Amino acid sequence: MSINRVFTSDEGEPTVTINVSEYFDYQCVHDFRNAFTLNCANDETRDADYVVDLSLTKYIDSCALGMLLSLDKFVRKRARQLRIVNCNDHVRKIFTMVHFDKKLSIQ
Amino acid sequence: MNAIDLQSENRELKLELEALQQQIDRDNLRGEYEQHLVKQVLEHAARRNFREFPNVEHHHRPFGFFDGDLFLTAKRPEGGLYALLGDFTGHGLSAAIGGMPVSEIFFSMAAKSLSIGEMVTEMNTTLHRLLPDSMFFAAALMELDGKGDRVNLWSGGMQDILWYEPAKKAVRRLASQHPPLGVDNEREFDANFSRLYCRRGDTFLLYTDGLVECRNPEGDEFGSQRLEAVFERQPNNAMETVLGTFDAFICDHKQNDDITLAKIVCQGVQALSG
Repeated sequence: MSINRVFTSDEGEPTVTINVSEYFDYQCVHDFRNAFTLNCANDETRDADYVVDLSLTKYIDSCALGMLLSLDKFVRKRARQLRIVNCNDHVRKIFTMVHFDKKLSIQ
Repeated sequence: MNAIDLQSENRELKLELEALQQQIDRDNLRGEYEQHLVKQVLEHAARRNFREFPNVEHHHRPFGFFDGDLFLTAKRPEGGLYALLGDFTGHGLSAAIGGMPVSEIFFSMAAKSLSIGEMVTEMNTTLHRLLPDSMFFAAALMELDGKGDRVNLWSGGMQDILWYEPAKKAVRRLASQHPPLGVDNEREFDANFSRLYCRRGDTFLLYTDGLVECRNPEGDEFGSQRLEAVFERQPNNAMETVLGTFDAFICDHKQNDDITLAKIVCQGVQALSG
């Protein structure tokens, strides 16, 4: 499974964490979109912040960058926050190239 | 079930299978026909490119039937030229289709001698409106003046552009200045471009990420360091040496993205006549 989604609500702070595998690319489009659009209307994730964890990700393509923009828009509409965490140097360099480090919260 | 029933069931299944196969063949043929029509429209849009500049070379290797990379060149009416190299998110038809509005804007604004700042603003507005949230266009636009010593450059989401100066015998890297086109809304968009003072003979190398991210059978990327080293050694024959080194490096390993390489040399380009 290339995309894995975990919901937690520690200390009353609902969070959806999306874990991505080694390759974050066009082959994940469907699963990634499902990770935030499926059952999103009426469950506990309504007030959740979103975290995309890239600790396993070595490679990222432009489709994946597009998916992150899409998720960011989705989260903003709900006035919640998106954080992208645990990027390796290569992935971080690509974020800098497309100036997403200025648009998204990347840690 | 007796033998006769089995036989007739077999026959029915066979007929059903044949009918399905015919349906698949018909659908495939129709799909192919439609792809060819779309490809023709895209090729017609690309015909407005002026490809006779003695100081511009490019090499194109699409990954599939449709090309998500775009390289456009046009004359500047008062002398000089405009060039655009870009790469849409993904590849295939969805990526190629975005090339239509971009090339129409590029050629009509080039004919009016408008600045690359005005071009990118118009392109960004159009792409932001047309494209889905998850799609954008990494692009670099260049404008070389008639004398060949001034270059304006806007680049968004592109790989570093390499600039070789014979006087210094060294390569400079020009990093992407902005997000790709289609990402920012009109309020956020920044059309500021760099003005570079060049000498005649200075050479720019532009390329899409398919070139530097392509891997050899051992899994190593071709990478921009290797590209820069080859370019610095052989700036005059950059196209041949880069492509030769690239082919030797990836040794028949399949490319997995569209690849474009372009070289632009600073020199005088005459004004349009008549």
